[in-house]
Amino acid sequence: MRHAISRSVIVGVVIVLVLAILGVSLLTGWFGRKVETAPTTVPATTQTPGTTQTTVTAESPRTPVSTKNVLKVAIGIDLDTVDPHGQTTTVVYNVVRHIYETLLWYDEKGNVIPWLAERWEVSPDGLTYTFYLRKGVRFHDSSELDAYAVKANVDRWIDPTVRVPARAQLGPVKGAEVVDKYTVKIVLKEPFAPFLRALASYLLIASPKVIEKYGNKTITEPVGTGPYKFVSWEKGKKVVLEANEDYWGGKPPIKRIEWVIIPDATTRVAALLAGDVDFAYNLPPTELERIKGDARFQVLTPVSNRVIFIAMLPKGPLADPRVRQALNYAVDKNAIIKNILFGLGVELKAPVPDHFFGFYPMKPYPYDPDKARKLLAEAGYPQGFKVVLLHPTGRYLQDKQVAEAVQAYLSRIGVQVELKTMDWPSFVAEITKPLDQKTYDMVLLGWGPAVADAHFTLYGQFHSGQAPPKGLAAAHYSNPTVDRLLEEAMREVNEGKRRELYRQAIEIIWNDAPWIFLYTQAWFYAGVKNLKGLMVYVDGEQIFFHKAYFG
Amino acid sequence: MEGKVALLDRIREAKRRRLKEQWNVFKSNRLAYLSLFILLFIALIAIIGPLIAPHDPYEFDLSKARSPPSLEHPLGADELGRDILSRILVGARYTFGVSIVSVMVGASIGTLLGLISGYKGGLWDTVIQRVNDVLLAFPTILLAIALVAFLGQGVHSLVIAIAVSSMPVYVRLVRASVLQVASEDYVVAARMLGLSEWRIMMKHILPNVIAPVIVQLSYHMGLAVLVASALGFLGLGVPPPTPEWGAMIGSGRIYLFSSPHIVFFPGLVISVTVIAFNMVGDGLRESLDPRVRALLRRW
Repeated sequence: MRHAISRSVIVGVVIVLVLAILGVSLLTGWFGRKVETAPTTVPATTQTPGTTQTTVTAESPRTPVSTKNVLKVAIGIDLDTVDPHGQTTTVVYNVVRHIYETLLWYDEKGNVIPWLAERWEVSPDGLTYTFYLRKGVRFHDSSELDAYAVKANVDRWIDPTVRVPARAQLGPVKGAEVVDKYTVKIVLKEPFAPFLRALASYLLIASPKVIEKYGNKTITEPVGTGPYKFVSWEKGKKVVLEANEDYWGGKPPIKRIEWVIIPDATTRVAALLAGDVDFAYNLPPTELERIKGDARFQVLTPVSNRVIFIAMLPKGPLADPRVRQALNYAVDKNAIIKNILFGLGVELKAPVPDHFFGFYPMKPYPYDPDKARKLLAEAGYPQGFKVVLLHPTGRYLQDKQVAEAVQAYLSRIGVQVELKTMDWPSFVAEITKPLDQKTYDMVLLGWGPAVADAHFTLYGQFHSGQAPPKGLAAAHYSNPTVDRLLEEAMREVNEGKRRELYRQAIEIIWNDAPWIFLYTQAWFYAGVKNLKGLMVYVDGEQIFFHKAYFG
Repeated sequence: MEGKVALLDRIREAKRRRLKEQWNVFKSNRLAYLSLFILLFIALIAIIGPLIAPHDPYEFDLSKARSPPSLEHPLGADELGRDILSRILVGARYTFGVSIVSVMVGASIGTLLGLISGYKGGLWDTVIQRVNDVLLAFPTILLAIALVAFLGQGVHSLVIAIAVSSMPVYVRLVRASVLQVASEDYVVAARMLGLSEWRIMMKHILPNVIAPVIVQLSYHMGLAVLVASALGFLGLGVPPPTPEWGAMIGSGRIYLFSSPHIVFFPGLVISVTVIAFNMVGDGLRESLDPRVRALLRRW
């Protein structure tokens, strides 16, 4: 009796296994579909991700009528605060920026344009900026936008008793002066060339009544001049905004936006596919092909402000620039972008993204393992050497996978890489240690300033004064010429001269190769196809819906 | 003189008969019998894997990343374009080898401690059992994770982690059996003859408590394959690019929907291995249990 049972169990197990193998084989196209399998290995992202950035901003000339009144947007993280000056996180900025506005803004090419200020003047010494405000703009609480309101916001920004995490990023602001009702001056302590861009990125203007009410306490009542008014915020669930009918820029077509908080990226994909949301932020690249192939959806892959690189510490073999160049030749960045990032990246041509002010294109290090081996031999390491590569897991797109690919590439030229990963807080603690206490040789890192200006990337990463533990310059790079160029560029008000200074600095850095220059990361957003009029912000990370409508 | 030789012969003969009977009982469980061959096959692969692997398991080609099964790559290529078949073949020695070695180490130490604890009693018993209680209080996988975090990544710490986390069960198991056996007449007789404690434990008690240990060992190796894979999956096992089965699943899981073969095949070999160990464990339990044998003899 028991033999019969065993035999039927064996048969059962065999059938299940065969079915399972068959199932997978069919899924992956083992049988009979040889020709069609090719596209699955080659992501269909032949167009560079950046191209969507300009096309999506195309607006229709008339104010369009939306066929649907409620827009649901899935984002990955909850808001930390709605205080206009307490912002730290891009996605949160994105949400509250539908409520608050800035004096200046960007066009789709990244140029600074007038917004709440109609025009501005800069004094020749670069210390005084005069802004002429747009007239007739009212806050949601019906108080008027005037010079006093702007001054109240600047005063709060520089008040040391208020928590302003981005205070230093705006520059060395001394204070604001009211010239007349619609004219305001902002005075700096010393010249700060990226000031207009920083102003357009950071200084959100809140209603003076709210500022008066809350003072230096955290503002929990968001009142701005923006196209949408705040309705409610259910912590961890959703934020609801409704259209500002009296918006100075024209009433927004969509009546209500619900920002739904869905922390898990795969769940956001599921919510989009199920029709629970109309638009989803920050999706996993592995889903790119699937959503692209679905006719119901549009896909946005804007290039971000974030460069991804491997910083090499100036110690051991890596102290020799020839070795660092060799490592750059040894890694095939384009193959990594295409096959691991599914096309969600653009090869670096400088240490800053292509759309930054001050960008100057260098010739990328081509993939050339022979040349890499030759350079290693010249430097005295024909047999290669061992290094430790520290990398985060899950912080940047496919970071662990990219680290493993780099490990594989470097093994081809004899450089043995030991991968080391940590949770994010320990990782940050490790990279901010002084050079002699670091337990690794190279680190995979991303650097994405909010302002698309070369200053924020180059000064932050290559000025010797920014080396840990003081700053976050991951490569501990130190070059007096570069230091001087970057300092001059920070103060130079003339844009042409500034560009020239950055060109010189970029050339030196590129040839010195303190990084393995990898790529600028792109984002992957998707929405329903009939959602039109989206505006992708210059940082490639924020999407604006004030002109959006359902066609 | 002649009588003694004849007696020894008879004992030897009886032992052989018992072994044969056990083997027959085991064989009669076809599933266990089949599983034994599967395990032998995997063990063989763990030894000769690198020799028969069609490709270098570390050689990568990003242009072939995630390509589905084909003639060149019978089980497809993984996320870096490495041959999955070769990685499974070479990976056997890590997942399978580590599991077997670590459980053997854990079981040996556990058995010894159980013997001492059960036979010597007193302070020995108290100390060993309380330490054991502490270890038993942690779930196996949690204890293993803590140990790897403490010892650092690598094959050695993986072996130690699994060995330590599998040890407590044997201490308990052996101690319970020893308490039973220690009061048997032949143990009392051995003690009267003045044999050393060590000799009594090893020669007279151990052979009589080993059967449940062997059964437990087989189940436990299956569990150890899972623990080793789970640690690999969590990135705490053998560091990349070593082709450990669990790590293969861990790094392939983000492609589960777009390229399921990356996860499927390592998952399949892990499942088959674990099931095979459990089946062999079942077979051993039946064949080593005198009651089952007696029952079968009656038929």
